[in-house]
Amino acid sequence: MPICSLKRKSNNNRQSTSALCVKKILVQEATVLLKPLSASKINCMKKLSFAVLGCLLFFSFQSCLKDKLTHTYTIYTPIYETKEAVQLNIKSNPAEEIESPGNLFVYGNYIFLNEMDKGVHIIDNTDPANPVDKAFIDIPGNLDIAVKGNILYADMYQDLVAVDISDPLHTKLVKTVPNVFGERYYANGFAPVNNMVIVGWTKKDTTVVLEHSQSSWRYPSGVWVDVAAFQSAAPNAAAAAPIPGISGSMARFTIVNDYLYAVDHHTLHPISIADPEEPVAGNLISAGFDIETIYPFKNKLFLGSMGGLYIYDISQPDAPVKEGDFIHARACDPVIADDKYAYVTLREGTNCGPSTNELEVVDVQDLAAPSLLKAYPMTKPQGLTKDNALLFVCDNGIKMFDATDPANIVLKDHVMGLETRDAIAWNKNLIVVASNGLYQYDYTSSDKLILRSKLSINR
Amino acid sequence: MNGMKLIFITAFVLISICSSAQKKAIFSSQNYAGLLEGEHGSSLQLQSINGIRFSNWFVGAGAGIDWYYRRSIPVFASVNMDFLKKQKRNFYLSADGGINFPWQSDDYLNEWGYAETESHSGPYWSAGLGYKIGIGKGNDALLMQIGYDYKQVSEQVILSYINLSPETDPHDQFDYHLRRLSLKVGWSF
Repeated sequence: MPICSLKRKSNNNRQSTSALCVKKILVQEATVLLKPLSASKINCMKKLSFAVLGCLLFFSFQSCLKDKLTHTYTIYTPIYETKEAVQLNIKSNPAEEIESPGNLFVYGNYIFLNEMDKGVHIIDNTDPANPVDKAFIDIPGNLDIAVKGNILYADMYQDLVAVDISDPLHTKLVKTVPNVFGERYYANGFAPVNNMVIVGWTKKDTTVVLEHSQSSWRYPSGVWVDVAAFQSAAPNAAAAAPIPGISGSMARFTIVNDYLYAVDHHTLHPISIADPEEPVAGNLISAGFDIETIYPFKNKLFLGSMGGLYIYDISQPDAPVKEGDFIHARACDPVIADDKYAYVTLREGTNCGPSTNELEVVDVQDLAAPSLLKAYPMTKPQGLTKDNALLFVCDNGIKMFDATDPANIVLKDHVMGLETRDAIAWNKNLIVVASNGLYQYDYTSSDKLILRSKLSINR
Repeated sequence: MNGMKLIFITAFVLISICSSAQKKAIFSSQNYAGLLEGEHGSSLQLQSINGIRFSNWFVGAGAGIDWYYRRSIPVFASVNMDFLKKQKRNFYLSADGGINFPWQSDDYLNEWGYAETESHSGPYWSAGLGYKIGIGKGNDALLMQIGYDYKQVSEQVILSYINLSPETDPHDQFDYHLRRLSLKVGWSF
């Protein structure tokens, strides 16, 4: 039934009736429209109101929009022992697991592998397919080793120790020469006190919230200073030794005839070992800055530094004289050499500087004026080694190159997936120090590296 | 990768449950551009979220680019709820959760100089209130959203080698907890 009907009435009555009717229709329609929506609309409005209110309350707390930066670092505290007690323990002790391998040195059937800051692993490598970790010589602070005859020379922080290894399983300390390596006086900011030796560290992880000021954080100050320490090394005893002793390219010790040469950050140390059990430190030679590695080349020494390659003449063994240099961009640069060329790997990094990652082949036939033959791009190369025409570079694993033509070296094989540090190639056996183990490869076939063994590292 | 798995599993389960329990579910895509405003200034953000719409729900998986302080790529699961069903104009609630992957830029590397750094991913989540305006007869809609956004990025940096013992791990770790106001407009279809 209609709300109202427009019956024919008098004019006046019809007009008022029409207006009233329209009004009634509108009201009715509005009621029809509004009635079913009001419940859901009210519900929606309620939800929306709560949501908006929630947002307003939330943003009114300014701390909700504050950024935060936490800094987590480790505090190291030294553990001290008397020097007398430490020296009594410099002998062949039971074998220990390899945790932080440094440089290595091959001596006859044995591999001497530095455990950074702790000592030397003695590994029987009579069968390269089955190397056996035989013993461990505890030498706190040790980073470098060199061997001539039956004497192993090692640094113990700033002291030089000579160890008789004629029976590797029963080694014994024969001599300590104090204060040879002055730059090794500090470790983690701690100096030795009262004839005490740092034998270990306690660690404590700490997290702090960094202050925030003017839209930036106050970062802890960083100082880019090169490592004022040796890296573990192995001596290259060349022709003088009846048993070949071979060092890696990361070495900071090397032996030439009756002298042990060691480098630290700024100096070259000639140490006479004419009497193997009585090493005598000679005069220090200032060698520049950021010296990293040392490599013997005929009657010369190649010193790798972050600024370049320095060449020293050792015709007078106790008084090396700088003969030439090859300057390159700032980078870490292990170096090896053959008769005509030096091979240098350059890598960038916190300790090394903003440079490039490459292998440089330097013509050293004129030692007074070495020149770059060619540079090859690399990923982030470290140590390298060479056996005749085969060049091995620790770079994103281990790479084997045919370097018959140094101006055009050809990649023959690349074993990836290893974090490699240094390598020694000798007698068709390539020994590689990696972060997770000591690997040995057969390179009899110059086209492929064949894995012989892996001595795992405990981490 | 565990976080990634969680995102996809969550999205898949939600889609499965809702699809099986509700009426017809249709594919829907939301694409946003907007600003992130926080203590370290303003920056741009882009996002694309693709998933299933059914009734007044939307669930999907999204990814984006976030330029706030440390450029990064968030990957996340997303859930929206409209206040009203089948309304062209509607408010909606939005919640996202996932992982934020760092994407190093030159500015960031310059801050640390040539120090060796490694960046690592961290959690990401966001919550917001949006309003959508339907366009035309189909499912297209203009979207506007305001919300709160959190991401975390971690960096391991070698700051110094001063007299370090080789036994020392030289890495320091920095964890950034970044909280922002998120304003974005977008298009859904």
